[in-house]
Amino acid sequence: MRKPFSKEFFNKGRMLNPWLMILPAFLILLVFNIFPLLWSLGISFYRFSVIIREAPRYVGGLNYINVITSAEAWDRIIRTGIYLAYALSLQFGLGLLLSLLLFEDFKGKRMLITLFTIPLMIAPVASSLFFRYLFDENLGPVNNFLKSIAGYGPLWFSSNMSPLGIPYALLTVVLVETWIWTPFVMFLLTAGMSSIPQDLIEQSRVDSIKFRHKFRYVILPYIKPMIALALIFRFMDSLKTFDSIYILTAGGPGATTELISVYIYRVAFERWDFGSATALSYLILVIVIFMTNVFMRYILGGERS
Amino acid sequence: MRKRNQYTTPLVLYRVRKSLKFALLIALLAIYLIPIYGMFSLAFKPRAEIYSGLFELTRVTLENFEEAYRYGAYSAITNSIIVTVGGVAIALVLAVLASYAFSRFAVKGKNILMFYILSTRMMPPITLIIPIFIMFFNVGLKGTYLGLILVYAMMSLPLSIWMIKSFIDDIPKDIDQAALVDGHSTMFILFKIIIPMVIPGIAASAAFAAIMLWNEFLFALLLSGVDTKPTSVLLSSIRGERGFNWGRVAAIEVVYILPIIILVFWLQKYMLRGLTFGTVRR
Repeated sequence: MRKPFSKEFFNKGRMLNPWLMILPAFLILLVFNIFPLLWSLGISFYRFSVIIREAPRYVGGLNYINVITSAEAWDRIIRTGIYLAYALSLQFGLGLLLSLLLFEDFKGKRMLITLFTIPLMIAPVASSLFFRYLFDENLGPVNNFLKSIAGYGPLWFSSNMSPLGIPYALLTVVLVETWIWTPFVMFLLTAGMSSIPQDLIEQSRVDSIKFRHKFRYVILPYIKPMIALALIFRFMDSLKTFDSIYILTAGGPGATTELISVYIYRVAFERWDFGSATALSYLILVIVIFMTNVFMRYILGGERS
Repeated sequence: MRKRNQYTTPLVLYRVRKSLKFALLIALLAIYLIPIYGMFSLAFKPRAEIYSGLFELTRVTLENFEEAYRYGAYSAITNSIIVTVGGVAIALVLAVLASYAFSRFAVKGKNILMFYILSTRMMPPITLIIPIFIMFFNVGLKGTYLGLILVYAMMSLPLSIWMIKSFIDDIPKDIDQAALVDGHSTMFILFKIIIPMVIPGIAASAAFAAIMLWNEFLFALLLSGVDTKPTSVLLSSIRGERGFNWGRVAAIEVVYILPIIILVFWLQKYMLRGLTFGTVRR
């Protein structure tokens, strides 16, 4: 027997079936997300060449084997790894520095944070194109400036080695991506720091403990979840980096800046080899899911113990 | 005397340190925003002075904007507006309905569905684009507004659902129940009671979705046609030309990013939710 005014009463009254409300949104996702996702899994088992107009031919796991044994694909994956290491450490280093500077409250803090988030919100296409002007090798403002003070301007879009151990073109991509994404890290860490109880901060100030200890015992425990969140988001999005590379270098010179997403794009839409491209993108998807789980376990699990 | 010093010295030190920190912060911000400033100053510079430094703006001219107009920037901006508004409008209507259902009802498989929706953010878009490209090519949607609008609706749905749900979750359930007791139907409760309360949240979600679509590049590059290409594709096509006019590029960029910069100031309150997909609230 159903009691009136109980939860069941409300859920089964003269109410609209909730599924009817979800259905329209679900249909869009079904047609343009789930279906393409399954289809692309299917494509990855076929030899699918658009140019010679042959019918798609089932080849089993051949595309996957080709991708895994291809030196070219591994080269791009390693490049992406190097890029990730440089970009993420720069973004997190700078982001942490900025959020520590923003630790204490002052007038206009909110405005300052908002100004910092502008690069994050504007189109990467627009900002990357402008950085191409800034870093122009002959006449660009950056090299003008460097030449006037140091008498030397590096070739920012060349494959020459930079002092940091990566080619200049890759360094430029790293710098532009850092410019775009540092505010994201800064923003999440600032949000984490604002969750530290006020009396804890005051206590640490009264005790005037060293900054090192304050960071380790007061700040870090509170921003750990945010670091994990930022790391997961940044890791996923860095693997997708496409717009800025396409505009800045288009993957060149040679394959210097051809990271995994640009590589897949090229395999798919320049060589028209859809089979290998989807196989590779599925492998990347698996890596993303795996790494996301590792980050979650490692950072959030460490906190629990 | 000695006693006074003992207490004031750390205080002075603290103040000095604080103002130093502030100065450093302002300096970093200035360096950080130089590119944005440069974009604006370049857009208003006469052509002859394009490479003559970043800061000095001796003569303000609008010739770059005129040239951008002649170049077809106007139609590209119009295309951007059409696909963005279309995508956000569809996604918003569907997301409001779905997020209300997710927020208030015990739907079977809700957690799985919500997790799936969140996980769409993890997927490399390149996985989706090949089948969609083939699909649109066969159906004849490639190069049309409708095709891009539908894909954009799909892209902004997850963000909209998660964000709007987080706003609806903030409203106490008692309000719905009271309205139910009064004999109102679900749709009446949603449209007359819940939606008016979360209008700011819905607007913020729409703005975040709009920014995402406005900036989108990969799908636009592959799915738009000659007449339907949005601004991001126009900008990328400039890249391939030899010896192009940077002033014109900057003028297009300024028109392209100005609406976003204005939106950012309005969105500062909702920034954390927007950046984290509504999973973190404050």
